[in-house]
Amino acid sequence: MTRRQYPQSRRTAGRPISRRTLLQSTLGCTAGALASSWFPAFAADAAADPRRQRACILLWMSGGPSQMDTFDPKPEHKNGGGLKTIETSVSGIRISENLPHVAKWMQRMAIVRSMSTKEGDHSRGTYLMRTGYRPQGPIQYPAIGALYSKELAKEHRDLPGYISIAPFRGFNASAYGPGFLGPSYAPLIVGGNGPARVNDQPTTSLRVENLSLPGDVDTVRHDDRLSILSDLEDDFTASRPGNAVSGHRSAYQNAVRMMRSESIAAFELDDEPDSLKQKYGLTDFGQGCLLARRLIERGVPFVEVSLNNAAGNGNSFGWDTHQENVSRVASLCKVLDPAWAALMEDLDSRGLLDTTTIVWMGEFGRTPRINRNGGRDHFPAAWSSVLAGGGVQGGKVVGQTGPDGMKVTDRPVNVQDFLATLCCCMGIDGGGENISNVGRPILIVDPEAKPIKEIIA
Amino acid sequence: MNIKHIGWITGIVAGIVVLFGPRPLLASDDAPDEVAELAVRIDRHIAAAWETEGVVPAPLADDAEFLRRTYLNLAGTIPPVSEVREFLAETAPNRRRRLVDRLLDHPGYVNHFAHSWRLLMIPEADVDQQVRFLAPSFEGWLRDKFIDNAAYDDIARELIACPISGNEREGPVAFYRAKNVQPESVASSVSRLFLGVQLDCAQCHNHPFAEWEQKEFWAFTAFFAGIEGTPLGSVSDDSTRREIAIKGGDTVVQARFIDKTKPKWAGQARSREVLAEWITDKNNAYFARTGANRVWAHFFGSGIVNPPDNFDESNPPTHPALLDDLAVAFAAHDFDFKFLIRAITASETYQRSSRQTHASQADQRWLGRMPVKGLSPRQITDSLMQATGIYQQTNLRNRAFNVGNNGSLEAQITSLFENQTASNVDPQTTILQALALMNSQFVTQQTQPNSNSTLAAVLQAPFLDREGKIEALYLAALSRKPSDKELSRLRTFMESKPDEKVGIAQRVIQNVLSLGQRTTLQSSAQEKALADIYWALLNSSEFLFNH
Repeated sequence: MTRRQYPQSRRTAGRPISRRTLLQSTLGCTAGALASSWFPAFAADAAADPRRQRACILLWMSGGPSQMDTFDPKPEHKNGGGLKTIETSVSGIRISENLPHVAKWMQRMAIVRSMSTKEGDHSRGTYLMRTGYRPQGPIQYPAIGALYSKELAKEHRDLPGYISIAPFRGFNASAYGPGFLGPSYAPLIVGGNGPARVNDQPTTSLRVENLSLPGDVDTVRHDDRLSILSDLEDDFTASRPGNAVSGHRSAYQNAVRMMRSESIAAFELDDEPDSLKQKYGLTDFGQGCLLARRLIERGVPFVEVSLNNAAGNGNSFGWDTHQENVSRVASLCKVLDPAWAALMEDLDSRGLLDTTTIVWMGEFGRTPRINRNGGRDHFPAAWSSVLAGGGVQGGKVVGQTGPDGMKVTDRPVNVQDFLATLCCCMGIDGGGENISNVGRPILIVDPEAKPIKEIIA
Repeated sequence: MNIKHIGWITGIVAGIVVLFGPRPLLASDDAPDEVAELAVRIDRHIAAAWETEGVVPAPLADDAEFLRRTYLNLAGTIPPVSEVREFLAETAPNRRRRLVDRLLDHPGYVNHFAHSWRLLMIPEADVDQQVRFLAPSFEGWLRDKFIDNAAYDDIARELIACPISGNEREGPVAFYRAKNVQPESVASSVSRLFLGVQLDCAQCHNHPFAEWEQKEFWAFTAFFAGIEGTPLGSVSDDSTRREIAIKGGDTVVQARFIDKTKPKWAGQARSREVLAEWITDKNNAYFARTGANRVWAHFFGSGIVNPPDNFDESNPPTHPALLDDLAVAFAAHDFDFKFLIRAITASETYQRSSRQTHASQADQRWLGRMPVKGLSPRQITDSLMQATGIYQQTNLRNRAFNVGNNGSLEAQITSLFENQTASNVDPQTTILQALALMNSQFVTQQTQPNSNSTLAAVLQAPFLDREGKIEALYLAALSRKPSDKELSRLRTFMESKPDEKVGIAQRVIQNVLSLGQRTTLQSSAQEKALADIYWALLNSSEFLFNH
């Protein structure tokens, strides 16, 4: 597995054209020739704060969020389910009445209404959207969190580069793993590991357990212990080379680094004023978004927060609203809306929004036609996702799905197109490659992918 | 795979046995030793692949390596120190086979295999809050089966054809409840479990890679068409129904077996019974091969076909002749688990060391060395309890019933270590696991002499010198003696610490003072150093993995 040196932003600012930008234009990130309009802005940004880390926050909607009730409403058609729309901060763009706070940030958001993928099964759809590939054959693709954090991260990190907050991995655990990149790119998982937990109490579960040494062991003694352990591991590695033992070592090294780092203060949510915590919402997801902001502030390049449940939704799982769609999505939006808007505002006021790209999506969308139980079933043919923040040309809508929402009528976007767009927004060199577990090199972005140029800033 | 092929294969195998003759490995009587014969054939198949792939095999494992590995595989835990000492002192040539025989009668075998099959059959119980409550009684039913050494086909038949009615939640009906009493979920699971066929994609559309069509999936599901109910409520079964409507449409399909053949319906035959008979038939190639493959996977970390629930053209067996041989033998011995286990563990392939002595051993598929495998959460919990001396206090019979306790050691370990992938070869250690093993309350307490009486006993034993104490810690944690190099290194470490002697009078006073008070006893620097060694042993990859 090759690990390429990530160029320091400091150096980039001095050079007229970086290798990265050259490759980006080759892959079609830019609208025209090399001297395109976005480059000077990018260089200026980098010059302004040479140490600013590009980052990504993935807001993952487990279960498959309904586009008809969120970003692609159809108030004129019976498929719309009777939901009304509201204005947003961008004239001409209207979204569902379920998201009033998010609506005020539309100028920083780009909605893709023409997502069109082919996997309608939770397990396969989750894998597809989270890795960019269908689950097939022997190749173990990494989750985009692992893949992109590897590209975005600076050399020395106290905190892991990929942190996953309250994920529900039951549909497809390998879609949350580092795949062929190996255990050192595995996510640090914080918070609920189980299925939908109905819990709207302020959460203390977003902590990393076992970070401090026991009372009678000081650092000197801990070093003694680690030294004995290191000798044991050296012997064992020599006779049993392979991923198991090297992964074990890597995990321990990262764990000790975390223990001794000041950055773990990030997890102390009680450091934040109550008023801010309330603004995000006292839900797992809300507090998870607050934690995400704190992690981004401390240089973590990729954080994902999963929204798996909402109070009052009984035993329906997350966004998988096969029954009572309207009321359940409304409850879920009551969690999503304040949290996401608070996150945008918080990042913006700290000057982080320009370098943090936010992605909102799930494994697929939901059927425009409402079923017998008042629900919507799985629908990958035409659904919505959103990109926001850094590198994104806000206030835009890409694609259309016709009056009944049954199919994409303009500009279909598949998973690789979408992820390529995300890479462009974040300045990730899509031409970079990693060696897979079968020895074949895999490019970060599929060369056939067509990034959506209109929404790349 | 055609059922008729089994006949050919039986003939070929019988021919080979006649030609090369039986060569009992370590048997002690004169009767034909079929365990040894199968073990020899296993080794021949594996060796044939080495020829083709250019693999140079590692040497056989030494007794300590074999003991620990086999204890973990059969009893689900590391061996107690007394067993380690005894086994390492044994000299009888058939001591390894006798160990296996002993372990097959150990309560750990029942616990471990019942738990492993429970994980295979209702994995939902670890994820779905509702279904969790069904796991203990289901596992209890499996334990009864293993206590009776029930045959694999009997277990399958009982599961597939069990009565489903009323509010009964105990036993095999829990399987149906865990799948939401939905015919399509049950059909998918039964097909993966017992036939090694993943039909799931074909539920909604024609399978993209294999031959299954949507109609075929539903035709198989039709055997379960009569079941109805809710996971925790009442359930019922219209047991003679044999047709089902494809979901989301009006097409009705009749029940058909997976190979598209029509069942011979006799009068009011119950559909699931008919299916159970077909699945468990001795000539059903899917059933025997899937079963043998899973038993193989139990010992080697992944199956000859891996993932083991996906027998597909795109996923061929690494050793097709071996798999067929195992399947035929399994069926010929009436699907007796213990026979197959004895044969596998008697093979040299199973007894090979996990040390790598040649680069060609790196490709784990060819088993040039034993792969390093992860432990299940329960194995980790039980091994930790065994290594720290608190194992004896738990009631082995009630193991299955500790699931509900959220704060328990097992619950914490399960949430940290559960593995949702198809094989446990090359397990991945996470930061959270490392933090827990280093700093958790359990490990902290168990590595402090004043809160772990077993540790204290070792550290203070007057009949053990420094080397003896280190050896005792190694035997407890790693089930082996330390090498000379390790002893010398650790002696140097201990000599670097002050050597205050705590006199007997002082120790008695300390003990008296600590009675009834929550004061912690001061350990001497030497005791702390030994505790540090113990901590390192418990945090090592040698402890955490099965190798």
